[in-house]
Amino acid sequence: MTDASSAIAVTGMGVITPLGDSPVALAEALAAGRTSIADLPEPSPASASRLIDFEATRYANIRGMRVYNRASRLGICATRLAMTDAQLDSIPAEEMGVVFATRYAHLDTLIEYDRALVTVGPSRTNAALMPLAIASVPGSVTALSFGLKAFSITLSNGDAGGLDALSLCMHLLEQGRARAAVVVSANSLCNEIVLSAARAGLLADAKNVRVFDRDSRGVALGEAAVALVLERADHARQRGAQAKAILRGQASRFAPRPDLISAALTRAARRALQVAHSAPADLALVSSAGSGAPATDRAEALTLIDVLGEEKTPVTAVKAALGDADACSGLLQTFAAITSLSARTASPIPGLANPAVLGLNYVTQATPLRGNQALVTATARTGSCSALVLSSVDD
Amino acid sequence: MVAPRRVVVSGCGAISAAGNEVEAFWNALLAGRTLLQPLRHFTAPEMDVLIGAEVVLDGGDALPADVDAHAERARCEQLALAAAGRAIRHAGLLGQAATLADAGIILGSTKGLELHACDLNQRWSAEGSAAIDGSFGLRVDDHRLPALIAARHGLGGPVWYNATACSSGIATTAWAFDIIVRGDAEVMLAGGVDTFTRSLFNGFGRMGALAKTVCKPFDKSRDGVSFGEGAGILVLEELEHARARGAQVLAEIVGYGISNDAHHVTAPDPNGTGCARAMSQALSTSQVEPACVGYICAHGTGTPLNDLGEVRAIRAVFGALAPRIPINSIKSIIGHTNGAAGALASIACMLALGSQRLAPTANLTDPDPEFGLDFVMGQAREVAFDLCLNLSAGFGGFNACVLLGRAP
Repeated sequence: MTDASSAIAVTGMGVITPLGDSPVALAEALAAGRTSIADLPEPSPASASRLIDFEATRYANIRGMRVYNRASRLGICATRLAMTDAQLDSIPAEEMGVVFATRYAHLDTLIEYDRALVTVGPSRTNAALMPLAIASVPGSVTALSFGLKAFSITLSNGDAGGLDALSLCMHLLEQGRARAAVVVSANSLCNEIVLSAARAGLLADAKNVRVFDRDSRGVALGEAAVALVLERADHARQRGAQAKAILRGQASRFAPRPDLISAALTRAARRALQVAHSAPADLALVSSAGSGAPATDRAEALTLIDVLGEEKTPVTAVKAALGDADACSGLLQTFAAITSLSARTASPIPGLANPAVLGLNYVTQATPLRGNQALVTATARTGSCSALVLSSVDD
Repeated sequence: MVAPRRVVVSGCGAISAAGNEVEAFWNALLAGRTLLQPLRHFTAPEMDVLIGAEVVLDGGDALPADVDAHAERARCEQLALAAAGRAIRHAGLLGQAATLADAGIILGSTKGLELHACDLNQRWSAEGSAAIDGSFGLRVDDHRLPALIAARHGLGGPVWYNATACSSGIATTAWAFDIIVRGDAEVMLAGGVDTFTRSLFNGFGRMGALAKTVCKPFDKSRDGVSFGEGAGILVLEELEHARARGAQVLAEIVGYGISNDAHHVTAPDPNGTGCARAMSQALSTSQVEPACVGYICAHGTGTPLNDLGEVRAIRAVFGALAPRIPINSIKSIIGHTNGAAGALASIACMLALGSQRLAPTANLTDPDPEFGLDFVMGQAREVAFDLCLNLSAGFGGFNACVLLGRAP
């Protein structure tokens, strides 16, 4: 955090998940230990947390939105919810930006468009799909939907993308390149990706997705959208906005080899704590990236043991409730950290019975929190590791 | 008060139709001859003749077996690895494990790893879903592009993939610049890469945006864009860090500006207001007076709307100074390399700063009379200048520009 005057606050939140489409409803579901993970009919074994009845027009009526794919529509709708929550009417659109974190948000459109080029030929292909088939689209159509003119950026850093997007946005706001900005991510299930993940042996049926558990066989996929409105805390105060959290420090590091993931995540976490001027003893909660994937869960557990030392900080993991929603997961974890700090209660990890790695204070039932800072962690299959330190506003 | 950290460029790698070494790239730009020609190694459905600027890689750039055994679908990875390897070597960092272990990379692209989706679709009719294997998800994960480079060279800092379409090559430089300024790394690689895909030609063809012959930036008869493939990577480094290790300093990154049109999914704002806001921001945040800018490397795609909007933006920002600033576009020589374009143009800017020479805009013979600006055309020009502005605009409306200065 550079200095107190330029601290970045979260002033609005929008969520669309199978466990709720309001911050209150989702926070209550997480605190109750509910999960929306269920088996997929095929491939097998596979499970996911799916948005069965998502209808974009319930949330936003944006001209042209029907041609956008499901992930872009989800992102736009979550953005609308967050902007409404932040009551941004007093800030001109020219002074607002968006950073969209994604991994595959354009992929279904690309596959559909390119497949049509091959099968029916260009002259019979829907030309309107071409501009929507590139990776920058989620950010640009979100900005276009709301007239945001400061910036429209799409980051594709895998599961680490949500926290990296927060970092990028924080620094652009600190420099005054926008007065407010939305960091948003949305994930929908793409058939080709589901099948590939199943064939890679990454997925498990619902009963065997057990985050941090020695009996876990794999992950569940997740559909969700999250948007967080960021602005400088002093600006928020000036316009009478209520800050929900302060983002204190973030860092990302890379593991050049899979066996170095734990070391890279440790470096990221320590750097984030350093930037935040925080110590492990300051942490009330870890909102972890634990997903049920045995190797990465183990790597993360080892990191947390290393970073937390003697501290018995509660460790939670929203992917046990909502599945692995790729880049969206980092923002879901951030949301969970913010609402947990606010409620002073950590949400349990559904399904965790026998931890594979001992020595951490895994949350298995709703647990009171002491303190007001949280560490959020993320790792990507490609090797990126990110960490974020945030605090509640009473810090 | 602690002086702000300054960021310089200590190496670069340029892969384009103009060759695969920086010297060949610069010589081709100075010669001002277009490298756009009928493509020999790439085809698209229902298009008889494709015009573009193809890269020819040499034997040393063979695709490593651990990246992909399928060179056709892994073309983008190959170009990116070739540019990054050269940039690291150029910066004198090859084998400098300790420095690289703290360095990161931010890479951008427009089409990214699209060829892997194309490869799947090519096999779909015959194989159906059996064409999907367990590594398909990883192969189409765009973050794999910078991750491959990071893994190859042992980078341990931030590794990001930026998607802001054709402004990616500059946006990545901007984010890397910030990471160094705030002290999160001493060395960052930044740049962009893109290659040809059928959706690129078929899509732009259906929109009527492809040049009928070759692109002619700022010309009265300009009628569209011509594509090239390529990769450009810059090694950004904190100034004192570069000095301490005796590194060459090619130029300084002085600052940057960004904006978004929020105008249309495909079309740029013809008034150039977003582009103007980005330039004004670059100047104001860097505390640089407009009069100090001695050269503008324009986005200059050769489409009627892009060039019009860009000229209007330059006029809006520089006012009476505008007609006195030399302007060029390198896209009529190496084609529009999409996500790589901004990075390759930054390399051209650094070489121009170092040599005090500007490359001519190929195919520009009859400037649009409404523009009234000083376009470099015909032959290379010698100009004394210390600062230049490199402009870019992306599909979807994101504008980014970077201010580069002579080596301190």
